[in-house]
Amino acid sequence: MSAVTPSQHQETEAMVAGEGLWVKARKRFLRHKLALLGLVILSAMVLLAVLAPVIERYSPIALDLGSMGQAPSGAHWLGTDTTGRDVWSRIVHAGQVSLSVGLVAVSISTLIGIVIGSIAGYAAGKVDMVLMRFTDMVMAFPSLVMIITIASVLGPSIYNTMLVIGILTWPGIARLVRGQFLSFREQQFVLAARSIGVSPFQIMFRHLFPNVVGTVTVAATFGMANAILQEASLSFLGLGVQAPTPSWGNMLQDAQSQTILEGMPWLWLAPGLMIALAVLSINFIGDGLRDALDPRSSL
Amino acid sequence: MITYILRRLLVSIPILLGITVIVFFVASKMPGDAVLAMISTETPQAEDLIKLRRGQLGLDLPIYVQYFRWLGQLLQGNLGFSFQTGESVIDMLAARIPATIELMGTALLIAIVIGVAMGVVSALKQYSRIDYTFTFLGFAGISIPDFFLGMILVYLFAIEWHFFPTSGISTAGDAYSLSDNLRHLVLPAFALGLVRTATFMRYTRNSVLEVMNNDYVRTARAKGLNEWLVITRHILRNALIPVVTVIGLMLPVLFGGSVIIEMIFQWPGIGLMFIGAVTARDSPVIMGYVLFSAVIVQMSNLLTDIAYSFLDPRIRYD
Amino acid sequence: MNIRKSLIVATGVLSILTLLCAPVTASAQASPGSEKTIRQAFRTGCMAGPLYTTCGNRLDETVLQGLAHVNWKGDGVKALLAESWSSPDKGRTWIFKLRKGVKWHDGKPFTADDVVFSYNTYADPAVASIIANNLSDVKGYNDFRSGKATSLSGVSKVDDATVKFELNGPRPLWVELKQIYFSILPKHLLSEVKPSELSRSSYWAQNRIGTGPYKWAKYVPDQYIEVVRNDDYFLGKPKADRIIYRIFADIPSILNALAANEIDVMSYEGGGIPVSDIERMQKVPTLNVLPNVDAGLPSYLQFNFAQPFLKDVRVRQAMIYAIDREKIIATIRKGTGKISNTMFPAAWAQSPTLDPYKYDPVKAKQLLQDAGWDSSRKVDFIYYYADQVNKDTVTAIQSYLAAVGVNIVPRLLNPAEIQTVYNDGKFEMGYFANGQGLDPSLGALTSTCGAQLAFTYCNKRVDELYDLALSESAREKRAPYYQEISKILNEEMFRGWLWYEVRPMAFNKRVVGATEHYAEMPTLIFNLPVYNEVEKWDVK
Repeated sequence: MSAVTPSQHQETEAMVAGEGLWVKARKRFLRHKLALLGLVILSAMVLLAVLAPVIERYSPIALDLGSMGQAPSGAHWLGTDTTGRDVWSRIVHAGQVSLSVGLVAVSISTLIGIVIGSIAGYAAGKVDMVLMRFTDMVMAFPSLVMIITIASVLGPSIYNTMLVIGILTWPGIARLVRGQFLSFREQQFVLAARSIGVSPFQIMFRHLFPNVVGTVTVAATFGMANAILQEASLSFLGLGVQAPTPSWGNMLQDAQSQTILEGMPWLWLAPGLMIALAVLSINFIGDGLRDALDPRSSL
Repeated sequence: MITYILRRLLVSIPILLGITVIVFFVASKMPGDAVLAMISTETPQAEDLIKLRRGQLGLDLPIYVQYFRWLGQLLQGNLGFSFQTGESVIDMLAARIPATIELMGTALLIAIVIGVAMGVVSALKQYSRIDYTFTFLGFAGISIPDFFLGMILVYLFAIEWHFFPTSGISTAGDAYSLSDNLRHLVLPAFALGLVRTATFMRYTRNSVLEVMNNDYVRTARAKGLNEWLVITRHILRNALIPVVTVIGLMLPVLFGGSVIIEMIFQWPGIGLMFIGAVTARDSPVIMGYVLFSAVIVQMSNLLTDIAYSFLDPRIRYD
Repeated sequence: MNIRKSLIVATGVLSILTLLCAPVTASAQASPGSEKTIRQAFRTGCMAGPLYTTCGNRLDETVLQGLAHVNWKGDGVKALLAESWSSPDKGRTWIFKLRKGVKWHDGKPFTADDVVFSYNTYADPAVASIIANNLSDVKGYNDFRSGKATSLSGVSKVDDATVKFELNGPRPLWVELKQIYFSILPKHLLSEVKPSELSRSSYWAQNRIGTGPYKWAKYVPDQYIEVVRNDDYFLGKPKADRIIYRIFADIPSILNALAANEIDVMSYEGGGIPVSDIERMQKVPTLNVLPNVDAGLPSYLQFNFAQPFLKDVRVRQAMIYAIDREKIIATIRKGTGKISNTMFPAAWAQSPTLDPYKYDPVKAKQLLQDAGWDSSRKVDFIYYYADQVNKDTVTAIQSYLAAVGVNIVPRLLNPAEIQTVYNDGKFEMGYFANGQGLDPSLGALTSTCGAQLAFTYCNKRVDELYDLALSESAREKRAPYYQEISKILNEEMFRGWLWYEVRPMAFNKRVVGATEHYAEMPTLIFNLPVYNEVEKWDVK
């Protein structure tokens, strides 16, 4: 994420003429101390995840029945699990899985949300009506419930987890984009563009879209935090990422046993903290981005 | 206004129908079916039995026929019978809805009371240490998975310290007593509610800050009104309006969360029933649950919109 | 509109609604505190009654009883509603003399009509009972099932206290192996219900009248079932006043409730104490823990013989040589269970000369090489036990097999998918367990030609031996046949034999009788009503 946020800034900067706006935004973001903290923590986590194959000390799936359930030590920084696998190596590999589930899921939902939202907002009228009722429908599914049902149909796997979370969490973004498009579509610059025969696609993409980039970025950031939590819940229910591939969610499943909760806290503290830290720092970043990009919105 | 409500209600009918169609077909695609799920894993079964049970439950019909049969029953006010136990789905829902409302209602109260209080204090002391602490705590709250919080609460308060029971809604077999019920309620309600206080806190804080900058508040202060009166009369009164609408947004999220919390605490509500039904491929029960929760979510959306228009006269529906 | 007031009202309404819902969730019922109550765990989804589920037996057997149920020691049957039985023709016809003076819980007398009605109900295709196929030996069963007859001709009333069963051939062990499945249902309450609607009858949840030591009192959905003492029970007045079966959806909650002194008796259907938790439970001062209860459950690698690459016996043997079973038992499984090398858990049915398949990865590699094993193959491997110990076990198996070049890809099945996989056979290998506790004859259901769980394995000699063993009733005459089968299944590695599992259990010390009862049970018996002598259990 750390690599993504700045580059998004640059892309959008190129699109918008008023450079000053973005300088201000960056300044506002940098003033937000918690957001900076979040950015630092998240960058560190991403770095750990990317470097997992280098910094792992043992294979994350190789077991060692001779050293099961060992407390953290020099040999195993975060101890070993119930089959003697090194928790540190699993945590960093799980980071790859959990963060990419979050990233891919939120990309899917953002893409769907933007497409549906901009079509509805630009076309307005009947198209809007139909698309928004469809959005209402998806929104009215209690998402976890639907996720459980769909996950049992598709069968549990990393890709299905990404897909399921992605296709059920777009309505928020669709509504945001549509709302903004609706409010902009009657404005002078759009009417002007339309009158000189600019194609609808160009109007949407060139003129309307840059106005919602900020809002969408903020929503997508919070969406990613949410997707990581959803992955954890799904894996907790056994419907998410499958063993032996580690994810923070399925590592937490261990804590269901009171014996482990009581006797081997390193097994659940580590993934639990990683989830909480990742989600927390993404939320902080989201908060900072909101202050920076979308100062008018109250939330 | 009335025509608006009526129109919204009319629109929600196709939405609900759409949801039932999608869920019905998705659920029918789950691997295995109710009959196979019922058969013990350790007993090999005769084929004729599976065929008989399927015939009896109507599972041998084409899926669209099954759906229209279900819809036909629904129009007669009947949600069908559980494949697993034969109980009427309406009775099953009716028996479990109070437990879910009790849990969700209490969790919502906890989230509102703690969230609003923290939000108000945060705003009044903006940029103070308390503000930062509360903001941090609030974010920490939404960052912890609720099931994880639930497990830790059970471990600490039920197993280690014996303050509260581990699970259930009341001591099984004992005569009902409110205090017994409430003791069982504490842990699941906090697990469900605490992680959602942050949302209320954020809304309250922003809203209070906005109101505080208004002229009438400044005027009131300038007139030398008692600070406490300014806060309660002028600030809170206006700031809490938008917070009411958050309740409506919260319901769908609470429905999802209560499924997991009910499972961890064996809370006999509809969420626990739903998880059991998914495992047993008990589609009439799955459908009953989905329909009920979709109706509630639709209603809460509508109520939120109506509340908006009441509270903020600038918004008009016609 | 005064906004502050409306806010207060809204909050008030929310609180009141919440509190109003509280009393509805459990209806009040007065109960004196001095009563002796046994609190037992019960699994969710097992409430449907003996016609429709086999996982509710621990509840069913205290309320409903059969003619004779399995003795809890598994060494025979205990006469319950029948006083005695005999066969004049070596097991082709059975005459049951019924116990006299037995009354249903509602006071109506129990008679031969109830027995005939019950067996007809179990066999009725319109009822579609899931244990009907255990009646396939009874004369007229097939005609009834196919619709050629409207009743089960092989069961008839001789007089009010005598019932005759006619079988298709001599079945000397029919009473011990088949009759035991069936609990007797009250004709006077159920004969009016349409067979196809029997499962929806309010009888099951509200008014389950039986003849057992406890009477149905109340069922609170997803919470508990309460049964109260039947003073007129024919084996004597029960000692405890009532039993509360508290319903749980998963094992961790049961363990928590046991540790917190909220329940007394463990259930074992659906799993006992996970072996990883035994130590913790042993530390709880209020509990008696039985860590080594034999589950009669061989765990094994299932081979799908329809897959050509598994047809080579060397491949199958190599896999067991490759796995250090002793190490897995000593570590992951905390020293519980014992190595198995064949199907039958009972020592009398095992050949004394079984090959022990000691851990030997070098030999495993050699065998695989001889068989031309392709180590780039990915083997689809299913399993369905989702608890930590079994998941760890699968992980260990995966790692041991990978070390000799067999790469399995584990796939966790939802319980509802298992039968689907059994039916269509779409898998290659798996980690399964299959209860064999009652009697070695159960093995015929899974290891004879054409049996579903044999997955196309077929050895005519095995089939023949099972038939021969069933024609005898004395254990010493049956033993040689089963020992030969055990040897064949060991040599041919019909399944990749791993170990016999334990199902550890825990009981609160305040209940007298439960611990003693299960301590004497040599092997747990699943999916069957067992005479559990619950009327003798007491509360301190």
